[in-house]
Amino acid sequence: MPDPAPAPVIAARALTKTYGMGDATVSALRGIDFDLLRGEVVVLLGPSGSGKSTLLNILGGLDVPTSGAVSYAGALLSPATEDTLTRFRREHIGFVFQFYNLIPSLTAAENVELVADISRSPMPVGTALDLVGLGPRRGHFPSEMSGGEQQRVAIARAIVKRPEILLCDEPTGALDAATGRLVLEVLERVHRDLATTVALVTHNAPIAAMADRVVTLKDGSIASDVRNAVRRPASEVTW
Amino acid sequence: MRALRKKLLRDLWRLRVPCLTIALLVGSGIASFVTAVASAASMKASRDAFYAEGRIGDVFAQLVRAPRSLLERVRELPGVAAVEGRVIDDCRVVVEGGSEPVVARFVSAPPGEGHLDTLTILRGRRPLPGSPDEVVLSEVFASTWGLEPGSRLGAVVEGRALSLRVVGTGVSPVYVFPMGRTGLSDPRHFGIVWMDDGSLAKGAGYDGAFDDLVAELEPGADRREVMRRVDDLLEPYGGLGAVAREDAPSPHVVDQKIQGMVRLSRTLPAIFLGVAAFLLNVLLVRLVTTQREQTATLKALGYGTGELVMHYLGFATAICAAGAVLGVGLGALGARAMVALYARYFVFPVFVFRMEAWAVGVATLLAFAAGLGGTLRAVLRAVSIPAAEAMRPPAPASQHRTFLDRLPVRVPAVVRMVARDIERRPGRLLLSSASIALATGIVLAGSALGDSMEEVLRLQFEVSRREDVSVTLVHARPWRAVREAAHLPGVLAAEGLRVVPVRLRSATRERTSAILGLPEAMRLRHLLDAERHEIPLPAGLSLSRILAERLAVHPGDRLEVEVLEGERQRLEIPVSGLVDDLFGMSGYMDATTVSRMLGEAPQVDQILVQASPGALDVAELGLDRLPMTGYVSRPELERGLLHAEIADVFTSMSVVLALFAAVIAVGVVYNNARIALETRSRDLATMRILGFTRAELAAVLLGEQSVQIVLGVLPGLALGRALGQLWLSTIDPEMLRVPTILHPSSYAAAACVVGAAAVVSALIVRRRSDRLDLVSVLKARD
Repeated sequence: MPDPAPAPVIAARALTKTYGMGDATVSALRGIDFDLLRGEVVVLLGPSGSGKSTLLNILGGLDVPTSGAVSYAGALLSPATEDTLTRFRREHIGFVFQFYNLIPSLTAAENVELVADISRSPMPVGTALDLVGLGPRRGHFPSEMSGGEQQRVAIARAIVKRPEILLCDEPTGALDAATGRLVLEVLERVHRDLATTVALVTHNAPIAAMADRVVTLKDGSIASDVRNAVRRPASEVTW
Repeated sequence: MRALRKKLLRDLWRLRVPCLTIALLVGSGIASFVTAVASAASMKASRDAFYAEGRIGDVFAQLVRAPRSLLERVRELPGVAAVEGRVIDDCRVVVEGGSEPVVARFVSAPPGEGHLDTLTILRGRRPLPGSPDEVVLSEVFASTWGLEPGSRLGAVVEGRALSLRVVGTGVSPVYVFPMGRTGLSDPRHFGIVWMDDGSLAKGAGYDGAFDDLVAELEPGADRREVMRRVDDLLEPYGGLGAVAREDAPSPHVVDQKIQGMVRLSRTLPAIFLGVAAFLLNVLLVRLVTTQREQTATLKALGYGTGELVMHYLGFATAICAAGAVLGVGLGALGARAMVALYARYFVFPVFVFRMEAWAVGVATLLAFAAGLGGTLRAVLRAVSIPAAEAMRPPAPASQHRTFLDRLPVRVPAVVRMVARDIERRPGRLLLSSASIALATGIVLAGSALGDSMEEVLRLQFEVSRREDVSVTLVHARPWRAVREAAHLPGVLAAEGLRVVPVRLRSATRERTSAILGLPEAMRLRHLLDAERHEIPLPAGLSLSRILAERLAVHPGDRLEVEVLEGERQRLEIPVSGLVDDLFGMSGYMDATTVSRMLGEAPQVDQILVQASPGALDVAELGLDRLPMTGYVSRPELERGLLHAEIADVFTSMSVVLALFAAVIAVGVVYNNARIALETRSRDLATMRILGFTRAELAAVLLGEQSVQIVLGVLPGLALGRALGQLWLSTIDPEMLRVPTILHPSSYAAAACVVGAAAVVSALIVRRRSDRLDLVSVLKARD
């Protein structure tokens, strides 16, 4: 008997998102159904303006859909109050951004500690930094680190709370290929060691090779949803 | 350049709230400047016009009595252009419907115009020659009592009851601010009554004689020499010493008021404009930093550095121009309000309003100076960066560890964030805290004026003066008058005071004053020491501390005492001690020693009475009928009057100062919080995404503001006390010494006013932080 399909940790149904009003209305999402399955690595691919970041933001409770529903572990997230979404992000989601978004006045360890301070059962800050290979750089300020190092601090910050889901928006977008690959390896290790579900938005098609599943968006709709037969290690990804 | 102008207008509109708060600060500074300068100019113009038109006189002298023929000898003195003698007599008057004791100074008015210190009629007409029942009243006194031409008034002149008819109201230059014995405006208990000079001279027993002299000097005359010679001439006639115009009571108060406003025009605007310059600097630095790439682009497109400097300075100029317009407008209104307030106490026939063009010009220049001073450096630095460099984002600010990192306890990351931001810009924190300190100080200084004056009243009327009624006699009477008073119905105890007019001379200086002869073991008057504690009357001659300072003498030094009545002895007396009294300048001696010194039987000029409980009216009635009673007064009524006047002036002043302070606090906290929000929007949005709640974010955002408020308010309280002391020091100490007193409630109120203004501003900014657009902030590279 085949393994039963893993349950969706986040499920989105008939999502739409429109910006502006009247003639100036722009539809970013046009009725999307999407399941993020527990334990998988999903890459959301698509050109600029295809709606992939909008979808990621809605899944992470950063934004709300114009219509449609999002549920987390079976509980409906929309409509949700600001406080509910804050609690959802605080307890379940880890974010990694294209431009790292570290707090410049805090050291690497303190940036991680910032999240540990508000989490229920965070891992030790040192452990999070060791996981991304930055233990020795813990006392450095962001301005004293390279882009790749900063992104790895951002990943440590995202995982210190042991989130079930890691949402990454163009995490390699501001990095060169070698450094980007290093960051992808860290994400892969986090997925493997902590069993974290990872959704990764990119416009960089070769990255799709490291995913369990590749969802391609185009003009606010899902153009394809393909499961990779073989998942390639991040170290083999090139672009 | 039109496009650049549009950009400027749009930037101004986008930042309208911070711009408005700074414009308000500039406006408040300019308004306080224009108000003070225009009020001073109005008062000065009114004074100068009236003094010239009414021929105020340059030298005044009081004496006991001299024949009019003496005036001719005074006129012949070198330097004297004109001289007039008149009769002045303080008498009791009875106003219908009034139960309080009222004293009026009767002043003789020669018929016709053009005399020295001439009477100007405001309503009605002058008294007709030979009409002994016609009088003109000082305007404020008449209006306080509701008297007008046609009203009647009773008076007791030289023991004779007169029924007088009011034919007009008026003022003469030397009575612009008629002062009662308290040294303050007291129109309910004191007024000036002008009477035809022949009638008053006859009624007061001064036919062919005078007891007051006014002299006008020739231009360039040696006034000191004239005064010395006048004193020599008047000495045989009981001269009390010539007084220069600016030392005469009313002109002195008028001059003090003008000087006070001129001083105010220098302190308050400096505070506002300084804070405004600082805030403009903060705002402009932020603007040019965020527009770094725009500036580079404009340069790349061909705009010159000069044009860009003008563009950004236009920002400061627009704010300051708005502030200047607002300030000049508000200042004109404020000055009109001040002039209206002063017109209630200072009566000029025409109280002109004068707002001179130079004041508006200087105010505008000050506004622009503040604006340019605060921004020029920041703008020059920003636009002088080469375009290629400015196209790149600025190098990240260097970060370092703070004192918190050296603490043995673990400090949350958010607290470290706030601490490092504060440490990175210590100058801004310092100036912000200094501004908050100034705001707190202004409120507290306002309270210091009210609290201290209340303390003066408490000391004067609860500690120093314990009598229920005091009776001033027309002439000194033998000491038995005290016993007579003590036996009157309703009188529990009576004590007497001897008041001897004297001229005191030290080696280098002299002063006209009075020596008070106090009875031994006195209970109804108490002397105070420097700590405001009661002290027993020291043996020998004690002086008010300020009088000793003015004469440059210390305990142990000898003084020449020239008695200005009776035998006019000249005595050498050592100063034995100093007294810290509050009003006026006096010498104090034991009454028995005074009578021995003067070679007379013990006499009394004033009787102090303690009434039996509930029998004050009975006692007063009896005292009123004693022989030679000049006037009867109740300290309690004086206190009420002073209290009302203080409340009138200081309450409105406190409200205005609190408003000013709130403007400063709002300006500082709103602008700093708003800029902190803009500067940190990316950090704050990131934290929101990481799971921080809005309240937690507000704590981070407003943490720095709280630090600057705490750091500002505490020194502000000390500053307020010092500022209050400074303002109180502008009160002429020869008239009144005011200890600086501040009640704990005033400290709390000052902190609350500033705190409340800060909290409101912070909440407004918090609303903005609650509406942070998380997604768009993250899309942009910092």
